[in-house]
Amino acid sequence: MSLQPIDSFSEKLSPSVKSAVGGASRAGTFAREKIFKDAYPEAGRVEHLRTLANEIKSADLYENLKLAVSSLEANGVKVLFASDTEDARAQILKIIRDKGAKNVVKVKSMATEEIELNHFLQAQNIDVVETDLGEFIIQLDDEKPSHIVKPAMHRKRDDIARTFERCKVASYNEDPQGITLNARKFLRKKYLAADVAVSGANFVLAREGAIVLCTNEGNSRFSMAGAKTHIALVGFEKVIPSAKELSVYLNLLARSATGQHSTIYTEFVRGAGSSKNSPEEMYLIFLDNGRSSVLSGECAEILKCIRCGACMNRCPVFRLVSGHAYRATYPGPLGIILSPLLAGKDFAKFADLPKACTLCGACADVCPSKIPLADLVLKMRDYAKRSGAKVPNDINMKPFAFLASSPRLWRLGVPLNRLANYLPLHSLGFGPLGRWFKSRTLPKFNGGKFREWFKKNG
Amino acid sequence: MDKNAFLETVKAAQAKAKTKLLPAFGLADVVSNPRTVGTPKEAFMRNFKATGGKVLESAQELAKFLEEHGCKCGIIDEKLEDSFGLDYKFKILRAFDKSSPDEADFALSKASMAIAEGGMLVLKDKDTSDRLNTIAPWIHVAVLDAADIVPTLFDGLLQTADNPYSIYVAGPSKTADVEGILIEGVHGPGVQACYII
Repeated sequence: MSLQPIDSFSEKLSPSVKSAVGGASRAGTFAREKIFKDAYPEAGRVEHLRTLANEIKSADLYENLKLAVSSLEANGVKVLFASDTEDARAQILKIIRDKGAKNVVKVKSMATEEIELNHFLQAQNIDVVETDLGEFIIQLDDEKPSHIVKPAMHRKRDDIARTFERCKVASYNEDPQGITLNARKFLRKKYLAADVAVSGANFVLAREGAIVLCTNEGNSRFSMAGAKTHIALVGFEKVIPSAKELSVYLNLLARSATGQHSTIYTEFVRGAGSSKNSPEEMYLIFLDNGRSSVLSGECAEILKCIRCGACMNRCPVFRLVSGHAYRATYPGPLGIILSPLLAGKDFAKFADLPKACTLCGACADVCPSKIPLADLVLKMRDYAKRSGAKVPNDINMKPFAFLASSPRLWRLGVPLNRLANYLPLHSLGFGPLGRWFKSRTLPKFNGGKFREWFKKNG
Repeated sequence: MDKNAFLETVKAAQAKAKTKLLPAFGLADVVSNPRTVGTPKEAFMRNFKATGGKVLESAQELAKFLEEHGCKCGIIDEKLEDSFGLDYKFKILRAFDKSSPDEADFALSKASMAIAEGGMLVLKDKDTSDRLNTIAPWIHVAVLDAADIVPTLFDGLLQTADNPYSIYVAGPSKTADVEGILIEGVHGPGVQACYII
């Protein structure tokens, strides 16, 4: 029996990546805690805000989406709809081709990661460059982000400097300030030469017909100053009723994500620009890609996620295995629920992911939208079982279920546990039990006395 | 995919999901009390400085600040009517030249308003002639009328989202993408100042 894929990945992970990911995740969790205490020292305030965030996202998405579409259209935005990855890619390519565009700048967006837009556009001979520093670094090495907020979390300064040297961005300089300045110089030319800017959106305001982008580096505004066409690819679950509700999320997002009171830039885009250098046309593509089936299912609450990354920072499994172990766009507690669901027909390929969880529930404690993540993990495990998906290293629980559902058999079986006291289980070096005992000890069996006790005292 | 087909799919999915009415809430539910202590101007200055922003309160202070940063040349956005005497000390451009994007050491542009609780400047397209002025030069100075400071993010949001394009700026451009180390000045200004008149 083989290890689960996530365990095999973790076994081979370099110590440098392990320490980078573990350290950055812990730092993220502490920063989050501190900033919330600074902002809301009164008892129960954060809890109340998280409850509001959860309830707002329980509103009727269809009604909000419908309103968003008409408001956006009234603002001159061309609103398009994509059912899946192929559809979204084709529509983006069509816009780029129609403009005769060659150069695309990207603003960090998980939706575009989901459809692997960069690879697709590059194959069509379009120069597409990520402008967020972390995304830029991993694009050079053709990697996927290892964290939804800190995509290059797994990288160390010296190997980033080597990448810059190899890709002719700049000569070797491993000082973080130097790395940043080198990227600044390199990307400046890209913004000014760009024809098209592609972004996602953190929120869509239905009443105002605006998208909201929360960023720190200034790459988003720069992209939307250089390019003449702006395309935003947005999962339809990002729609919220209005700017009033946004106040709840803006008070939660950056504090949960990076321990900042807010991101440096909060951008409200309501159509093509009105400044000298700004896009002349704006397209917004609403993406389904499996979301509507998630909405109708038992795990619909996962759509309340605002992509802050607090759950992965807090997750004891993520901290050990790193984001790439999850083999999908979304890692961590969010990913083990969302990735198999979004995979659709390929569900079985990701059916092992919900097992990468200790059910400790720490993720749910830090989730700004108060998504009951651990409950959803249980639902996903149940769904995986019922769907008959084969998961490596999955122990057959049927004999146990049979035993546990028959009181008579159970009564007969309990004394047999005493055998475990005499078997050399800890020196068993093979199989799933061998691996289990490698890092765990079994207490001496001393049970089986409840029934006797109950007969006397019950 | 066709618009109606997309919306119908969402509608059908939503029919199977549990929905709730929007919760009632207001300013008191979301405001951070420690961040709004003092007058709006005091709170704005405190919160803006905490994220690395620089506050300037007179034309002399502004000129001195730019000199100390070794500035030679700057842009004054066309929407600003006053040059605050800077044209005597620096080479002043009135427009951004894309062919020499690093020519200007600084740029001045108008802040439409500010949000005290967030330490945020609000730059609206209607008050900025060119977005590049505010994002490309290393130093950006937003000129803010002290009367245009709103106390809370909640109030600010209700006054901004109806504009064609606006951006909140809470300090200099930042990243922590390399080993979590905080660096200022990634793509946007490395120095973000606010001149309050």
